[in-house]
Amino acid sequence: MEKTEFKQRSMLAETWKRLKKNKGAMIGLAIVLILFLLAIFAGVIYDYQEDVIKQDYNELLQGPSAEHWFGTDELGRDLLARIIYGSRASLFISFAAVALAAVIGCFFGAISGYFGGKVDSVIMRLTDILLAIPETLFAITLVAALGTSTFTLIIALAISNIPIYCRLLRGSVMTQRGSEHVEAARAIGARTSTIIVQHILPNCLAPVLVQFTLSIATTILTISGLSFLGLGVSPPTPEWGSLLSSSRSYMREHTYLTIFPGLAIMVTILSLNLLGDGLRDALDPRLR
Amino acid sequence: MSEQKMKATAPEYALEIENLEVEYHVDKEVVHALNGISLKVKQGETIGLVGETGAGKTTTGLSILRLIPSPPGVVKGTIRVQGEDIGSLSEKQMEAIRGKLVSMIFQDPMTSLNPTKTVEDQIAEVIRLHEKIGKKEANRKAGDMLEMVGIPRDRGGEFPHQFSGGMKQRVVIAMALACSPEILIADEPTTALDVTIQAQVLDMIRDLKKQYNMSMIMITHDLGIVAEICDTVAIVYAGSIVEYGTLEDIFNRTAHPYTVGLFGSLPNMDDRTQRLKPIQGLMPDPTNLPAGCPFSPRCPRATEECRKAKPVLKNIGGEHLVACHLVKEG
Amino acid sequence: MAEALLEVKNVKKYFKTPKGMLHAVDDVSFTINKGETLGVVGESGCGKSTTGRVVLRLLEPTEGQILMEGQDIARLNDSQMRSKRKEMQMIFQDPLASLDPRKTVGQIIEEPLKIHNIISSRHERQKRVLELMETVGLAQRYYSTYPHELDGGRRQRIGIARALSMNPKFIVCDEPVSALDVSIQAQILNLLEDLQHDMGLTYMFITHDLSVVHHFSNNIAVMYLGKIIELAPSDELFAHPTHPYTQALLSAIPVPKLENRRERIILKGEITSPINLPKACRFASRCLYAKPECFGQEPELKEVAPGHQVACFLKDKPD
Repeated sequence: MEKTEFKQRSMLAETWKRLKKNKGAMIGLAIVLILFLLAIFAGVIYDYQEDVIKQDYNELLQGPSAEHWFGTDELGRDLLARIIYGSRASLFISFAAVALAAVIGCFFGAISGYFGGKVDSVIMRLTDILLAIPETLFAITLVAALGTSTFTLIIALAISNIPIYCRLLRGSVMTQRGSEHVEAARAIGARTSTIIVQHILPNCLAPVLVQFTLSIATTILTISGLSFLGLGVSPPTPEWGSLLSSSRSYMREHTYLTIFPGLAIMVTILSLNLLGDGLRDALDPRLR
Repeated sequence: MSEQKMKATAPEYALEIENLEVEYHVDKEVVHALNGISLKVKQGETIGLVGETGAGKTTTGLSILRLIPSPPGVVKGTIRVQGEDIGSLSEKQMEAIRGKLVSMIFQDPMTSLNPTKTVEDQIAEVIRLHEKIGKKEANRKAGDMLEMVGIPRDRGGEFPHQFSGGMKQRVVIAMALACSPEILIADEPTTALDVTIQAQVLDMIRDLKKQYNMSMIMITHDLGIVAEICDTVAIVYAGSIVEYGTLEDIFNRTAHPYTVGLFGSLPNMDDRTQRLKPIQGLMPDPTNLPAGCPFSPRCPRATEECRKAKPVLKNIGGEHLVACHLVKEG
Repeated sequence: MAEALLEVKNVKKYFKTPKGMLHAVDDVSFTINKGETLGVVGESGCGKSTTGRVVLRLLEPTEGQILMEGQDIARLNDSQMRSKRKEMQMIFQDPLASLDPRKTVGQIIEEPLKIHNIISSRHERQKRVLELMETVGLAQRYYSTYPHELDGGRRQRIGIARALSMNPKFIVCDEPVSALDVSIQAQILNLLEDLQHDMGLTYMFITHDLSVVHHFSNNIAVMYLGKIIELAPSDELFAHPTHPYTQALLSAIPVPKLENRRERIILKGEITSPINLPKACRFASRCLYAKPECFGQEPELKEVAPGHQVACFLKDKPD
């Protein structure tokens, strides 16, 4: 590699430099990292059999204490352990589903927006059909047909999220396609694929990133709804949504049962949002 | 009512600006938009304010209407409209002046019109803001205004998007003139228009000005338009007036090196092979103006003195003022 | 004497709109000689920009031939055309919009070299980019800045460097200076002139600014509603404008001097859009001299003096 004084600034290093300046985004990033580490190393911190699913009738509905920081649930299980284990299901399923939806949706959205015409009409009518079916209803149908499993759950949630990304990207791509810098790329003889990948997509990424963090949030809530109906994660495996719904009967006297899983969801979503906003700004060289 | 008093005394100058300074305080930086501009406009006179992007032309126009947002803007100096110091007026009194005594036409007619209202209603609204007349009467007057700017009265019920660019600018002008203002500030009114349409609009502005005996400030970057329509010219550079004079002073006895540069940048219509003589370099950064004469870094004739002391405007004959160390008083 | 580089023959570009066929460019023919400049002037909506884009096949022509050194580029397939683009470049009106905001100056100028694999060594490529930057008067320190950090004049220099990187023969300049301040305008015009001289470039110069086009062009084509209505050498056109529209257009230029001013001809009405046109002279409804025959049929371009063509019935007859 040549060393010259005119080093090209690398996109990644630049982004990181700008992201570092954004306090909110850094806090968000720190929390997201901690959450992921906790989810990954949950097995090291707690023993699944002993701490998470073993019922202890001497310890029913204990409030927060030195021994049980978040208290215990109606079956005497440590709430903190269940929340940390629960993050595995919640985070994994929602991330997998939304990432899948974003990739597929963006792919079709880009094609639809760039080529327009008949291709666009067909793709858009298909997304209209998907949009017309409520997410939960669709998931119920699919899970009922294919059987309850994490995999079907991910597929069901992904499919119902696809149209959002498809429409989002189609709109931005259409604006970008008409812009002069894309015409300039055509004028220098760039291939269609180069134009889409190098000139259009990078300029369409911002709204996708923000939508990504929002979708994670709604997906966590949908999963909890499905778990409540018995179609999501089945007990005794903990999951944030099911923790929340099972706590409802005790909400009056044992508020902490609702507060802690709720906080977990809130903190996750908030930090994802902070990170998403920060990333969007950091990826744009015009904002500094 | 105070307006009646003003007209009775009829001050010599429609507008007097003294040592106007405008700064914007943004992110710990200070943008020096205007650095001490003084200007007097006689009744019925048209003055051209000429300069490039960022010279401070529009800021001057907005200051006269007291429309500089504050914060971040900080305005110093005095502005007298028909002899009255507008700095001492309340916001309410100022509202009565805007549109009635002083009107402004902006560059982009698209953004100055409300897309959801018919053009006639928009003009009538301005009239009713300043005159106590009924809706019907106001709409009838609005129709008169439309006819005056060359739009058939029966098109008044249409919406802005049904008009072409030139027609929209005519509507904007009709709106600005609806209350027969004493001073009209026209901020690049024809820049967005095609040449033949520009000619139509300029022609119309000139006729209306005569008819109403208004004073006018024509903000433009086009010396051709200045030659068409103005009586006097002020050349603005980096927030200061560098040369001021009559059309003959500026066009035939050009004194300031910047003005010379502006003329040199224009293609010669009589000899197309003549090479352009552009001004080297760029406009200075308004947050970091050079010491001494603001034009000195680009000036081909700059001396040590130019880089040290900022020149003041001096009279070089008649009303011809120049701010340059190299030009001798006389 | 001069050799033709580009010959455009009967090119048409129609767009489908809900109101009918829009004749953006309607049967336009012209020739540009090697090393010369053709200025194309007209008001917004006259089809001058569309013509520029059709010539480069950024828009597909509806009909007609575009001969570049005798080869009809309208018949090239995609990959042949991509390779042909090395010879035919464009400089855009809005220097900021035409540069990818997420790429640095170096990346933007380098891209064509990568795409056409003109220089494969990274080091050599960088050397060439710095060379190009020097040619267009951009200091090397801007190599890794972003376009939005620079002023309009420098941005336009980036666009010019990008166009030059492939050593083109022909460049379409679409209003390259109309977004710039007067003093910067002159800098860029001088640069374009020097480049033409040094590299033997051929330009098609599209603009609405008549004083600029007069200064810059060997020949000028005046367009109105998709048609060329007058075509003549630059000095001839300004000395003897023959079409009533050209006359009005020239008289409307605000001249920055106080003596020898032209008599103004103020046109009535405004340019319409070229949809569902009647078979008549397109200018007839605004023309001060229109006769009944002008509304009956369309005039063709006819030579009135050597190299001077006009499409107007009034000039056909000796009266």
